[in-house]
Amino acid sequence: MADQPEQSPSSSQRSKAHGLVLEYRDALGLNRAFISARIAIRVVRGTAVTPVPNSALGMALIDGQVVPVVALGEGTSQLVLCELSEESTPGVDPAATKGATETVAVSGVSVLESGAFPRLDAMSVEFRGEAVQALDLGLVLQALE
Amino acid sequence: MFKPQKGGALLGDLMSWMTSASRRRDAKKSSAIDDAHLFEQHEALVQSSSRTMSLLGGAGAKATQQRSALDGVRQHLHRTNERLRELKASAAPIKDALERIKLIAFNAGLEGARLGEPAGTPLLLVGEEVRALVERGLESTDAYGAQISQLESEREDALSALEQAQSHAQDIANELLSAQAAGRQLSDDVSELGRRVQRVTGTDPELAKHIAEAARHAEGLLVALGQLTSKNSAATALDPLLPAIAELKDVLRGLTRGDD
Repeated sequence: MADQPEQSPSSSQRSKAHGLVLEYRDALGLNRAFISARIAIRVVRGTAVTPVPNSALGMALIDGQVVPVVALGEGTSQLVLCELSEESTPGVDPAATKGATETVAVSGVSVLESGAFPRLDAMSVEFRGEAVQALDLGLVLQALE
Repeated sequence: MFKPQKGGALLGDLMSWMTSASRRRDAKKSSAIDDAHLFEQHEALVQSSSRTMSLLGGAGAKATQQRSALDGVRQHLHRTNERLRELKASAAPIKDALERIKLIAFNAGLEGARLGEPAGTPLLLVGEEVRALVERGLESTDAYGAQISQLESEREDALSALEQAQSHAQDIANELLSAQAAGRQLSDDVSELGRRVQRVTGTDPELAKHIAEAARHAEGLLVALGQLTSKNSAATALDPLLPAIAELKDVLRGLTRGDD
């Protein structure tokens, strides 16, 4: 869950991390996570996700391309389309994507806001007065595969 | 014909005749006057019964109108339900459109974030502004939906109250039908009573009515004449009445001849 951010320096004085903050509900409860704009491409909705047999992943047809889907939660119709490369690093400001990339969608989430967020540290940003951890999508994928 | 007499003597004759006629009448077991009163009371009963039937008929008509009005209200409530359903349905595409716009705002913000500052700043600002507006729109849509739900709940309450009112109206209508049936029975009984009274007394109701009327007039005349005779100046005061009294006496004698 989100931790309380440090009080100084003020939000306006901090450097910004660009991306989106989303919310999802899993077995542990309601969670928030940050995905950098270097990874998150866009948000889509109303796309059908088909479960893949013998796998924790699903798949969806987005813009004519079959995309693997990682379910963080359930009960929403939004999908966040992300692009990952082998060089992708975790954190609020991952390294720029180089070489071959893989498109992955994240389902079961509600995007709360997109844009620039005050950076608290390398792994979290401030959102509505709370610290939000960056989502390590590569790690999530590894755990599911 | 009438022979001129002193007013006091003529009046005395009339009074004594009426008194003796009254005695004769009293001697009979069931006098014509009593019969007439009986018929009069029967007539009053008939009129009361008729009035009761008329009132019950009016109340029945009003009850029918009330039920019809309640049916109208019920139809109105059903139409209201359709309108509410339409309103609810119309809110869904608005909410869907707002959700899509919110998505566009998110993507604009994401694109602005990817471009970085200052190139992406306008996109970030627009995305943020649009998202804020959409949030307000969604809140309003939710409030709108909540109000519709509230109206639906109130409509259900109204429908429930209406059903109760309709049930009571039905009870009233049933009671009125029973009352009307009882009223008809009363009318029949009153008619039967009239026939029996006529059979027992052997008197024609019309004749009885005239007799009762004549008796009332006679009693009134007796009272008035009695007052006149109690005064000293009655002799001269009676003069203008004498021709009429004499004629009345002749008529009464004519009638009593048949009676005797």
